[in-house]
Amino acid sequence: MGKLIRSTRGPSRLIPGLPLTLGYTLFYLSALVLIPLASMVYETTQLSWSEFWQTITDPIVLASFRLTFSASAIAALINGVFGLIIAWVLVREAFPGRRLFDAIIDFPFALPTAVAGITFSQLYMTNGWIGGLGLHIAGFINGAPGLAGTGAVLSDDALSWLNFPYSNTNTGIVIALIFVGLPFVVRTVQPVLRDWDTEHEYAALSLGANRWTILRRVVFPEIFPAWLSGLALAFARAIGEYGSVIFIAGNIPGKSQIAPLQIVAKLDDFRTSQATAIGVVLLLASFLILLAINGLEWLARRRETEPAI
Amino acid sequence: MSIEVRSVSKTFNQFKALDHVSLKVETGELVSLLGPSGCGKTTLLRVIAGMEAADDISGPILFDGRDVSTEGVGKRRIGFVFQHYALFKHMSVFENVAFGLRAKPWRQRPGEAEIRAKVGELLQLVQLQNMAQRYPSQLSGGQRQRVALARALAVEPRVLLLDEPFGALDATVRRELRRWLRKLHSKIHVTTILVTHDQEEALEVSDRVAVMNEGRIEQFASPETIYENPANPFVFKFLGSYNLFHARKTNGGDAMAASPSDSNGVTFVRPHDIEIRRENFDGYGIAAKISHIAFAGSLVNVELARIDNEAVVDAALPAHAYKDLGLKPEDKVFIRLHNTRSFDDDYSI
Repeated sequence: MGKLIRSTRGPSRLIPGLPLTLGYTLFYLSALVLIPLASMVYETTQLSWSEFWQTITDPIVLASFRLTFSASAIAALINGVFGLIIAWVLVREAFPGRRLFDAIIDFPFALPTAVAGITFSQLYMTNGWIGGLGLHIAGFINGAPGLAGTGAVLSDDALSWLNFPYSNTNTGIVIALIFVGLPFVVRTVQPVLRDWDTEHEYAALSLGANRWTILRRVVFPEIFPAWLSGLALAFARAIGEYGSVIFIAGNIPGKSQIAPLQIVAKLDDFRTSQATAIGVVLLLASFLILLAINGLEWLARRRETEPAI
Repeated sequence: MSIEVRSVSKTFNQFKALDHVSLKVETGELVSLLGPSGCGKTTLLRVIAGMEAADDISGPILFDGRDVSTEGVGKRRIGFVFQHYALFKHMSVFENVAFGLRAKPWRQRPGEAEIRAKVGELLQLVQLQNMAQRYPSQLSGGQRQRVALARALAVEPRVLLLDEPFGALDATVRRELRRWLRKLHSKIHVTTILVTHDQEEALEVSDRVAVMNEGRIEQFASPETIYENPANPFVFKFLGSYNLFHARKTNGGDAMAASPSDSNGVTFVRPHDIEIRRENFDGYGIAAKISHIAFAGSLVNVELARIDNEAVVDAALPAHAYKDLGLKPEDKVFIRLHNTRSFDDDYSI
């Protein structure tokens, strides 16, 4: 770094103010990311090893970790599949309203997550629009004008298979996490697909490959690195998600409490060090996962970018 | 395999890319589609390949007399080579070439040993046997295009379609590769259609050349005929630099002798068909003054102005002839035109 700053005194410098911008960048990163993280780790060190271990292996905390990581992983995978399809459709298909759909993808970025959480929990209540969909449809049919006076055609639970009462369930948590994670996969895959030359597909087609082979051997390997980053981002985002989840989750300790909620619970009890201990575990886990995925991505990209010999 | 298209049209929005084009390529022939950009040559190639559907009013596309116009790209058994190679960059050279073999339905798929042998043979053919384990990013442009060609040949296509295959390469490599392509073609003899905007390339490698303009074929003939006997002014102009005179050639004499008043046609002459001398050609020469001299390697371009009407004439002469004459700007000389071509003046320039 010192070398970098010194070299800027040479005559070849094109953009002025490197020391200033570099200093600013470092300050910014430190103030916003490094110092808070360090203080969190420092706060955790107030605990002894055994206290730390006790905190994070407490059955209720362990259950919350399990829930957070499994729900996040499921949500990320579902986003991986459908985000890919959405990105494909948005890039490849011309349909009316495409721009509007494209803009809507960013909605989860912009919407306050608590608002999304309340909306979801209402929708998936037993009598909500989706939670009680079968109920509502049965009611609608029974109330149809042509049927006036004939009495109920359908009993209230005739269409119970159309009820999706996921509020206060762990399925509801996954739904909320799918919502917040969706843009990540779409937005990482989309630019790669847009830049991708369809000539490759024609080449494969002319070589006699069928659609499935083309998808598997030609298209997917090309977008795999971007897809993986999108997946990782969606996953990391889901681990930390709080606002949209707590409204739809059951929040029963040991059953349906997510790890961030455990942190809040500990803070409410003024057990700050224990709260940060959980935070450190989440941080470490996300960090390791991101590292592993970046490693995979690097492996996938390495071959393509090796310099010519 | 012979390929024939009959009255094929293709319209993009309002733009007529192909306007009732008919063409027949004989078995084993190497034919070039030559023309400026936007003339429809690539569209024609893509229609033949099945990557583009022709308009409904079009006639059939016949492969060996059988209409394939409703068949998809994969069914037509064509080998297609793109200008920008379209190699699969996450696959090694070997896997790229093997792609078509591995993609066959499992009943027809050759065994691993057979694939190895076949790919090895093809890499030998394109002189890349040592590059099998490299990735496309580690190859030069010329090498990449040869991989693309080997990949296309792996499935034993009935016809090879090349879309500006050397367009992205520099001049030296391009010249080298087209000679190599010519040799390859005489070895494997597969019916080949080459799209190019480079006249030299088309004339050098092809058995026949189809010159295209605005969605139509202007002339389809051997390179020699195209060059010596262009069917119309467009073909003449597209094949190289030229001088244009708004006068018809008169009774075997010199076009420029005709006065502007009786001009009812145009006459073209190539710069290298203009002879320059110090003294007059038995009275038939035209007096001109040298206005500019530009050295261009083996040729020297001399710009002259006629003394009588100051019309500009471009001449090109071999460097040795230029030296023998000892030409300098402002020199007064006499010129004579050879191989002039005249056309009726019924087109706009």
